[in-house]
Amino acid sequence: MKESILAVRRAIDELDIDGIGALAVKCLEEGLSPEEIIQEGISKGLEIVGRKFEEGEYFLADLIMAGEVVKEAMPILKERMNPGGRGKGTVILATVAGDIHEIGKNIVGMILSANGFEVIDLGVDVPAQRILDTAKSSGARFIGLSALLTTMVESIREVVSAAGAAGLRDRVKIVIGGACTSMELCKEMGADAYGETAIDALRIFNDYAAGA
Amino acid sequence: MDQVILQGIPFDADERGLMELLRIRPGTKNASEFSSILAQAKTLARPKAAFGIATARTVDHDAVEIDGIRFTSRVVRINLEKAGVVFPFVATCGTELEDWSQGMTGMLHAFWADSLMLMALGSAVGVLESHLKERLGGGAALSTMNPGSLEDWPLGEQAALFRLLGDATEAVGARLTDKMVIRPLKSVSGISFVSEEGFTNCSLCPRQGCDSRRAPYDAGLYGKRYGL
Ligand code: B12
Ligand code: SF4
Repeated sequence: MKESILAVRRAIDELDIDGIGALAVKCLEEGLSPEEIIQEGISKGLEIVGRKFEEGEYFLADLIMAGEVVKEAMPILKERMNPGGRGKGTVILATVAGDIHEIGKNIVGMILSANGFEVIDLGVDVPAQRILDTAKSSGARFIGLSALLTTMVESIREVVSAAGAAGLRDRVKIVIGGACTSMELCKEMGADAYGETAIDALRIFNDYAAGA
Repeated sequence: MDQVILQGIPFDADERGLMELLRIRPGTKNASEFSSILAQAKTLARPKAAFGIATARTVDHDAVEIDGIRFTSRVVRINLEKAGVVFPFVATCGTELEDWSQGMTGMLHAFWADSLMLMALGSAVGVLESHLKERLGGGAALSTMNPGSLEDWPLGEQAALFRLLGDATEAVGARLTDKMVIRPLKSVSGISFVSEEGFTNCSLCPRQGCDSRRAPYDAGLYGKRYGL
């Protein structure tokens, strides 16, 4: 592995927002393609940050800042990318109606957007109808719902039925997560997948985006 | 029920400490942006809390009444009947910061605003706790329950708690939506009470891997202390 690409990884891990731009340029000058830099430098750097977060070494502030570091590098790389190269798709994220806990959802949003998804974050206490209206208007194929309050899990079912009523159920994948959710709940509510952590969320949406 | 409204709660935020916490490097563009956001928050923030002073009367096995308002929960009944004086409360970051935070654009600024609102809520809770302790003349061990925290005392009971607090909730700008969400979102509600043996939700909460756990889960406690 080239030293310059390892430096990109390190810059993300060390949250070096001022250094990352120059490092991305250096990689390009050495002949690396933007895709390689994203795959081997940026994504791997984010993986390290994500792992440290799961192990409790990093906090939400580190994740958010790592996302900002990535944002500095992306325009430089995108400019050199093949036109026609598409992003992974749009994910609508929301904390369900009646629930206000957003930290977990924000982490999921941060990880997804840093990894090439377009994220529309509708915030907290979001009614099912608003989620579906957004899915329609944006053409998004993915919906991520977060729920921490046990009493609000019915709100998940409301989104699933609203998607059916809107004729979108076949088009959108509904993924759930948050501390009061589980695989059983996912089945019970008729959602498509359950993710325990933000890294799971990324894996699930990556699989969907790849058509798996 | 006697009520106390706590306004004018200071929002002391140490810029350097916060920057470290939020991983903002001094001297960067982020640092100066944060500085101005913090300055706005400091001018605007009005964290508030309100509490009542009451006694709970046992109505039946699974319910108590405070000031004529019924709360249905075995754990609440047993905890409160031994307590003598109880303090229903609500604490909030205040509508001022919540309104201000709506104007934030971008994930980073929204995250900063959020962290500042949680800090403001922390200030409100801190001042509330010290008021209650002072009232009890120190020494007494204070415990707290929050509607929605335990299956035995579900979120729907927020309605009774807000009815009990009445005008005091308005005075601090906290209101309950029909889904039982408190607005401003960075708010907490509950009932504090004196408990010799001490009570924490955590000892009745089986959640695994919770970073905020303050006491080990005691699987037998529901049966032992509450006969459930
Ligand atoms: C922080 C917190 C708050 C903060 C919220 C701050 C915020 N901006 O979100 C405040 C103080 C405001 C709050 C208030 C309340 N809270 Co609260 N809160 C918590 C606490 C301590 C931590 C939640 C958290 O952020 N965890 C950290 C994140 C990273 O974890 P996470 O959300 O689970 O997310 C991870 C995964 O689940 C997953 N994930 C999350 N979303 C998604 C989505 C998808 C699609 C996928 C795939 C994965 C995924 O990825 C994340 C990262 O790995 C929990 C206890 C706990 N340990 O969970 C209680 C808790 C959730 N709260 C609870 C309650 C009851 C309340 C109140 C109703 C209490 C009250 N009566 O005042 C109020 C409501 C206030 C209101 N406005 O109405 C209860 C809920 C009980 C239940 N099971 O129903 C809990 C469990 C605590 C308890 N036992 O009492 N709360
Ligand atoms: S263990 Fe965690 S989730 Fe359960 S009551 Fe304690 S702090 Fe809340």
